[in-house]
Amino acid sequence: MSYDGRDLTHSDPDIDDVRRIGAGDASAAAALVRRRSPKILALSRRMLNDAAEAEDVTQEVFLRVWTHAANWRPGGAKFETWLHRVAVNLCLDRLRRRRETPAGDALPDRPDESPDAEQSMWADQRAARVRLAIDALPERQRAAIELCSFQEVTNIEAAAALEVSVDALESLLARARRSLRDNLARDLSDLLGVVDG
Amino acid sequence: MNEARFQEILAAYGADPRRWPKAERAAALAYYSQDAAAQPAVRDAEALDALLAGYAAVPASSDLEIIARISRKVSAAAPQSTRLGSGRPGRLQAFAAQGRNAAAAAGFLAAALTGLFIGFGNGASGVFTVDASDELIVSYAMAEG
Repeated sequence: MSYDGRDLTHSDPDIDDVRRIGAGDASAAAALVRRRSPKILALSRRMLNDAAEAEDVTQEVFLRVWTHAANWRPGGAKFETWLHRVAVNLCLDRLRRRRETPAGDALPDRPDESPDAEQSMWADQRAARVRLAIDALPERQRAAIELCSFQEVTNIEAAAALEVSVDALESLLARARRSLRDNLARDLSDLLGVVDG
Repeated sequence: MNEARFQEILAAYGADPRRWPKAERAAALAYYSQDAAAQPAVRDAEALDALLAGYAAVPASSDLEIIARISRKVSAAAPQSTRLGSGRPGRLQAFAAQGRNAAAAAGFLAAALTGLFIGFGNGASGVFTVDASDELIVSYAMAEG
């Protein structure tokens, strides 16, 4: 995984498979799915918080490859950036249709902190609070966090996937992280308390 | 690099230098090493990073089934005109619905063998059961989007 910012790279690891897919090679399509779908599925699952919809979106992303591979021209952004862009847009479309209400009021209560509380249960509940805080973000902030914090793409790749400038991406990320800090203040306080001893 | 830009980087990307813009990474690291006043902000960012890292989903074993299912549907949606005549005996190509009579396509699939032998580029092969319902036709129709 590269953080070197060279998203406009000429060394695209998917380009050979994309060329073969453009020629109708089903095995190349299968290879691309095996290699790239896990992250697309994870992106969709986190953005939509719905396993069935996440699978639908992931499938749609790779079905669209058939209609775009033949026209793909290497030398610009990586093909993975295009996959991210399609996945994010499909997720955003579904979120807009769903019109979820912010779930900030629904953060679960802090678990019992008695010494005999199960560590794994604590971790699960913390993760659930993080999920709710992320779900409460505006859609494009959620997408920015997903790309930069979980998909491990560079800032330039993330900006390209969201079709915004890097400055705009940084604005989305900063606002998202500020909201998350506000919603997760108690969890952060716990972590900082542990760090500070 | 100055304090304002360093704080902007922390605010947007967090405390992990691997996520900082490449062109500014070295300068930001140098700035941090020289400015003790930046440490509290870095610590706060690290805490949020740790929360997010704890949330990042670990691939479930069921993901392998999902990916295999998607792979089959995507492979089966290959445009027919570029796949016919592969010359490999026993290969049955997916029947594209676009521009073709859907009822004829479904009838063809229903009359075909229920076992489908598909060869992969790496020489591996497997047997899949074709769902002779609308699955392939619907899958290809989705590809038109």
